[in-house]
Amino acid sequence: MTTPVRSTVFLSLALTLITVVARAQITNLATEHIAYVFDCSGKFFRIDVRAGTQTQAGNVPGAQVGAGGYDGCLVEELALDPQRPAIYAVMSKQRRFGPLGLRQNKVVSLQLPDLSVLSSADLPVPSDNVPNFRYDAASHELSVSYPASPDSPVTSGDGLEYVLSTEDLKELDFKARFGAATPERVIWGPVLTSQAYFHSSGRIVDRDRIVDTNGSYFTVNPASLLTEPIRRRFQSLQRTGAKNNKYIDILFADSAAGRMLFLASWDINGNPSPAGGGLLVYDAINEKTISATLTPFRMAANELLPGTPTIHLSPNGQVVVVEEYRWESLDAGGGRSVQQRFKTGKLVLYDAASGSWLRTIDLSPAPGLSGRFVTFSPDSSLMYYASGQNLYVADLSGGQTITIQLPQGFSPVRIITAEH
Amino acid sequence: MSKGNPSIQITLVSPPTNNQYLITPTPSMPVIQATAAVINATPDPTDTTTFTWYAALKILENGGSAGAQEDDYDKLGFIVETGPAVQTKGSQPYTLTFVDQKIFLGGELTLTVTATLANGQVLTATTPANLAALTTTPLEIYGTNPQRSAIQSYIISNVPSSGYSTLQSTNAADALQRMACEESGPAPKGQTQFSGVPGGTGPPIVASDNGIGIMQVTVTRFTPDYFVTNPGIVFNWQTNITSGLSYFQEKARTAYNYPGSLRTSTSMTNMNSYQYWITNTVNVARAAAQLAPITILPAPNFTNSGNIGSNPPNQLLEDAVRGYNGFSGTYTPQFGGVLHEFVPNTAYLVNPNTPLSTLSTDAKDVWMRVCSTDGGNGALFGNEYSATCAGIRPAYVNNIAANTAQCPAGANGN
Repeated sequence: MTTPVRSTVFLSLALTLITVVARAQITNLATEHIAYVFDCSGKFFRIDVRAGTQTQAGNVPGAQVGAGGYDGCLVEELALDPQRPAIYAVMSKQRRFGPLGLRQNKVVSLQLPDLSVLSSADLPVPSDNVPNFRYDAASHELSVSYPASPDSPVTSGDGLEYVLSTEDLKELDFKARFGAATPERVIWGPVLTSQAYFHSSGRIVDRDRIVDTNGSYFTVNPASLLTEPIRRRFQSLQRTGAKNNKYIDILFADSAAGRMLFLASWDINGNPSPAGGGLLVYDAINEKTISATLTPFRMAANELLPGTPTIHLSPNGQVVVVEEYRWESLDAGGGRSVQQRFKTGKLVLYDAASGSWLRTIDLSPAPGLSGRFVTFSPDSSLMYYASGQNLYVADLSGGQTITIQLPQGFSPVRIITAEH
Repeated sequence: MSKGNPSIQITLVSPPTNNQYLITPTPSMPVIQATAAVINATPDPTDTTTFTWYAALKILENGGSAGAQEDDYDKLGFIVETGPAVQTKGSQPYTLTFVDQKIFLGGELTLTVTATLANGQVLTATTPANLAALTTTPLEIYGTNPQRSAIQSYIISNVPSSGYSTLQSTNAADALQRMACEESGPAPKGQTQFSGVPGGTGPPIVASDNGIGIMQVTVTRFTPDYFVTNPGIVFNWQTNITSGLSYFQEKARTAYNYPGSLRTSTSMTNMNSYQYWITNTVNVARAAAQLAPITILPAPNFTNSGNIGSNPPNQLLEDAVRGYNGFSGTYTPQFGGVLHEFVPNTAYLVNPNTPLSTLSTDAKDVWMRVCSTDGGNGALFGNEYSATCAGIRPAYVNNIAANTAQCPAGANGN
């Protein structure tokens, strides 16, 4: 429910052409130079990163795009099927959650490059949760799972999973477990998130958790990684606790390719880091630390809101990206002020294996208070970054960047990169 | 002197100014009456003629933008047949009645009357072409806005004395009056159902997002078409308010349930649970500092006293107001995947000076307002954020707080 003026402005500008406002030549690109950029309200645009041009913009077909308010995101999760090529999307079937706080979702296959709907399958059970979503290209299977919650009717176990076959793109088909009458599969044990991935070792890595082939799982305890040599290396990060105790804190930040990235000295409002931050890269498969690097840059762990964490590991596990920021004081009204991180646009790249500095990339203009990492390209060559006004594309190997001015009201939440 | 062919002439009883019948601010439907006469026939057969009357309403979209975003009403009009045919004899007046006597309907009205003469000739006449008063102006049924004081009184009297989900009725009613101001703006309108100013007349407000009337009850292709299923939302300002209040009640319940949903987000197999984040992020940091772990899930019930904009804030009220506009946006980890007005304050939870004993009750400190500072953009953070997030409130909640219940100068920054 919005007033006419605001809505008109928002809607009319949402589909205007984007503008490349600053550009250097990005030439060192792999094949995935097409980016489909999605926002929460179900709009998208398609850009050719190599050419720096927009080639398509509109509403995601099948999404509940339209005027008026909505809850959550109208396109929740996306996955690329590079072989077809197609995109699979989980979308809500209603714009708003119902009186019971539940909403029905559907899975849609979208043909590239025009995103036309090929098939759609309604998930039978409504949920109060955003589904987890994974695509297994080898088996042509989509997994959509919901964690259990007290309010959700989905399951008596730890979660509920639907598996859909994508053998026929035009007919997404639920795969019931052998002998089962319904397509639901009750999960007993870890409910994998959308960030979970299969490692070549056969194990599943899900953020800071390892799931073994036998279903057992454990979470890496970061404190156990602070060996005495590493403590010495990070000595300047040592803080003094309330009991006058000296300590170094270390927290999980990111995971990729069987490696986990941790930060030492969480720089948080009210308890700033004494001196920069530490990077620790851990080989979770072989259970060994492969680098520990002291940096002059402050770092944040996940604080529940976009913009954190401020360090990232590329999908191939080889590059660590550190976002530089400074604290700025904002008027919070009522005589109060709050501290917010102002992202300067400086991205500092480190080699994950050696911890050595690789290069520094400058995004321009500075992303500012709304700056946030969005995603890497799957081949780890590009990094996508956003602010309230701009989408930035950074070539991690060459250091070049392009800046794309976003339509007003468009805030990228998902990006799929493809060859086409 | 030549005579024309026999035809029917329609005469409005008590014709309205500019052919516009008006729903009163009470509200009540206008009395619409007409008579028919056969003209150009000698002798005049009117007194012995039976006239058969039909009425149809064409509801035209008022306002709203064309294009892909427009869901329902990019059509010429929705024709409402107002009831079965009615017969009158001679100069007996026809009175427009609806099948549902309590219904409120408006739009462009067309009266059609037919008669069969003694010689078998069938005559048909319609408005406005065959009105006695020569005019091409169609008949319309518009509405009259009540004065703002009537709107305010109606809201106050229709918020239950028990309030909504522990929200006090006075605070809820105050916010709803401000919302009525904001929703049906911009100035000089506000707290208006029809396109005129308070006390003025016009067709119903239908915004570009198909929000209708005072409370901007929104119709999309994913909701029932209120023009068909509940036209009172369109033409009866009281029904519109009642519908808006009902919707707000639902959002207040969602806001009320949110802290509880975090407190029961206890799964450690679900990495997106609140428990997992407390255990593997907050408590990890606390353990490093040799601080005692947080053993509860800190999500106290929202504060619930004070009008919107008060300091400290009425968190429940502000989250409900946000929900009325849409809990759009998400954050990670996804505790349900919907962005509320407040999230747990990470900095407070890891702060060494935070007393653990009050984490279950200290809503003022445990909850942190979401502020995107996102330059006015940001479906990620909700589609209604201000350019600067000044006052650290999203624009919609900000706007409501900036209004007053009296709506003295209309919406948007009075």
